[in-house]
Amino acid sequence: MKKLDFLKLELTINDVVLFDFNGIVTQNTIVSISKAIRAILIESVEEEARVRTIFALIIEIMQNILSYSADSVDLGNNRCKSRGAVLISHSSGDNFYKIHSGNYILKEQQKPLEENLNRVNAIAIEDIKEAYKHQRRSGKKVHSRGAGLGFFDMVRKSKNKLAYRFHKSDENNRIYFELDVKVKGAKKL
Amino acid sequence: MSVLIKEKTEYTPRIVMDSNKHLIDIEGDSFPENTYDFYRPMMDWINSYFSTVYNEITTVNIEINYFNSSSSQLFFDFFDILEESVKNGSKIVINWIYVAKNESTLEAGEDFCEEFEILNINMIEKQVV
Repeated sequence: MKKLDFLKLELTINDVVLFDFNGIVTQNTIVSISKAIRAILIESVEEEARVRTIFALIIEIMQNILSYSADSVDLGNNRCKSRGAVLISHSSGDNFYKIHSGNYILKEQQKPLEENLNRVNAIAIEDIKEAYKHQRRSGKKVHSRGAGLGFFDMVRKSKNKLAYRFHKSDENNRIYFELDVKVKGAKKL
Repeated sequence: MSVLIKEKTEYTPRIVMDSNKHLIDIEGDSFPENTYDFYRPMMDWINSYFSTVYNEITTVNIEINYFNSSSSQLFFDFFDILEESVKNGSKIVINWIYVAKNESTLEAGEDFCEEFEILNINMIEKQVV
């Protein structure tokens, strides 16, 4: 039997899990989850701008899982079904929200993915706005599912670099990919 | 002369394109599953509209609360078409409408202003009471 991978996280006593999901991802799941997260964060009396940032990041991350995961299946009519995990935690220690995500990718996706992430992480945070605009200009009329802007957008919105890990899986042709995006909280929870 | 209307969903904006009124209205969130496929009819409409319009002033109102990165890319292409049309003599008034407390849409609008100076995009703050 194939073993299902989960996020490999080390949470501490200072971390509160706000949301935890591991399952089938579709466009409708993304809509429901992003709405639920918005409600949870508003309940946590977080500032509206911060709630909007986290909402935007969740959609970006989950749409990546939908389109690029090794589990992504074409349902026809330009709809996909995929599988992945998302966990949002808040750490009272440093007042950061952390959006952890995980999904399988094919082995051959690792190198280009890692190169993309390194390219974005090499940009200083204060230069990310210009880099984003440059990337968008160069992506003009490139009609693919994603625009290649996603990681630039995540860094720009979160104002933090992206953390990632690749794990071997039971299956030789698959790698478990984890991505963490963190956002400084505006208010103390 | 043609009218194209797409009703709003939870992840796509309401789109009204009316060649009789010379009006393009886009309002709502934009994070479709496949952005280019979703917007293709709109882009086709715009391309054919600006190839037939001459002296009339076209008004474009855009009020997007949230867009994902591929929609951001799409809107870049959209403004690019508008810019080409202005260079070819079209008269276009563009209103980028944002809610004051939504900094990211203000910033997104300012980004487009910087990228497409020739378009003179009006930044319009919407009051929500």
